[in-house]
Amino acid sequence: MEPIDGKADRIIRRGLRLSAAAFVGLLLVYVLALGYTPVEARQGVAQKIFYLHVPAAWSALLAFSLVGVTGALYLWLQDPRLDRFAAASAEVGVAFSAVMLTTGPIWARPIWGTWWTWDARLTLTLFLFFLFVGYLALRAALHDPAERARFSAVVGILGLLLVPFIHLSVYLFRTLHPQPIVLKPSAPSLPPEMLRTLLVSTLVFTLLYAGFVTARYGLALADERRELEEGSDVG
Amino acid sequence: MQLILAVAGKDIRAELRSRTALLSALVFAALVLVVFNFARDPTALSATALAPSVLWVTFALAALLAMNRAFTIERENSALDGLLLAPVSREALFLGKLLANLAFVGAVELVTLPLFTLFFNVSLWSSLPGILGTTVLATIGFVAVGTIFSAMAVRTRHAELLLPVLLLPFMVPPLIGAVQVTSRLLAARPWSEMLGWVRLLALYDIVFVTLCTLVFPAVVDE
Amino acid sequence: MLAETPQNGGYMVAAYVVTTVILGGYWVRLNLKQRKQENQLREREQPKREREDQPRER
Repeated sequence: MEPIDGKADRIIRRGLRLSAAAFVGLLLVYVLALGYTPVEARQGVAQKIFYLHVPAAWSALLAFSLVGVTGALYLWLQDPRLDRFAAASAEVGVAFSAVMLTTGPIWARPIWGTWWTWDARLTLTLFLFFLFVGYLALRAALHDPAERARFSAVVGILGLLLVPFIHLSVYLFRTLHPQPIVLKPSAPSLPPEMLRTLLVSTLVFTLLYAGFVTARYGLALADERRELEEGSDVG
Repeated sequence: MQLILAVAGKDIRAELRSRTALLSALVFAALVLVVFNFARDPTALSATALAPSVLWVTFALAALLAMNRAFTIERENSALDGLLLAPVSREALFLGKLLANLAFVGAVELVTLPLFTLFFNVSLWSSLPGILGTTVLATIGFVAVGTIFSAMAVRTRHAELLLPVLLLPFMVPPLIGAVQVTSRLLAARPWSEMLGWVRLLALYDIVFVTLCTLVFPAVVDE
Repeated sequence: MLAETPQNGGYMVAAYVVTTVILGGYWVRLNLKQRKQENQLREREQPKREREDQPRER
């Protein structure tokens, strides 16, 4: 069993290294956001939360989409690696959703005087958070690996298709009940420093996602190997 | 098609045999309505402003309860295993279950509606066809995903807790749509104002009934 | 809205700190799990080697 455990270990370490590197990138983003980008006149310094909030949303959505896609692929190909990846992606997605759901209100409060708004992005992320939690709760409650993988895949696929409907609902709701446009940077006239920093941040967050998922995948693999071995030790 | 009806019939008969499920769901719905009435300040909000939300939250909660109970009964009877051994089309099996659950939840809703008019002093007569149509559309949405999730949740220990956690996010789009259409119906607004929401409800039903039919085999087959 | 830029640096700091805590915390958690997994692996290898030296009781 030694070589296989070594493989899991290697995967974990690779993931941890990648995310460590991404953290260095994150530091760079902090520096850029605080020093390089201009201060937005209307929103003040708090606008700079934007450089964390938007890429976190992107990572959460990426995590979620991959849960759904790998789930669908699992149902088709029956490869347990796909299910392992989906589980890892879900857990990482929770982390990014948490960032999103905390930075969102912290941004909204000084700008709009209210902690929460039902705008498209916040609402969607809230739903992603609940879907992730439900997904992980289901997984925790199922003990047969094949059944767990199948059921998780179904939830992932259904969840993925829920997203456009949430979006549509929020859109319909807002066009009929016009509310102030919230948390939207002046997109067409975004100065180049802001745009560049946003892109760098998005890249860093994507790398962070990749590193986290790799490490988490490796841990899941190691857990499975260990359970397998414990089973054969007893027998 | 016959198979679907046969499956539905068998399930409905099973539910009718244990009348407790239907009764408890009804009592629950009635109680929720009562609680809502006492939970609001009559001077602050008119009944009509609150009515659609109250009605639909009640329906959503009752639907959750009903679906959970329906699958629990089935698990107790191990009825599904027998059916699965037969070379029955999984799609037909799902649609049959869908119909049965629809009938069950629909029955609860049908009885709750007059209670609602009574407790909240709201007149539904003029908008009744619209209300009924909306109820059908939204309930299909609830029950399609609900049938899949209850089939899964029933295999876990804490199904009663897991089903709402999984299902409630999925109930939100039909819920929003239903509340929006109902409030406009009650206010006798023109069709054009509701069309977008009705389309949302219909689209949701089409997408999710199809999707759930397709994934059902993954839930029941090894 | 006033013409001057609002002074809301506190919120910005809060957001950046929270982000660092959440993401950093998750990374730390992954690291701890990795260490635990490594230890468990080592613990199992030790007694296993010892057991293989002795005859089985069953």
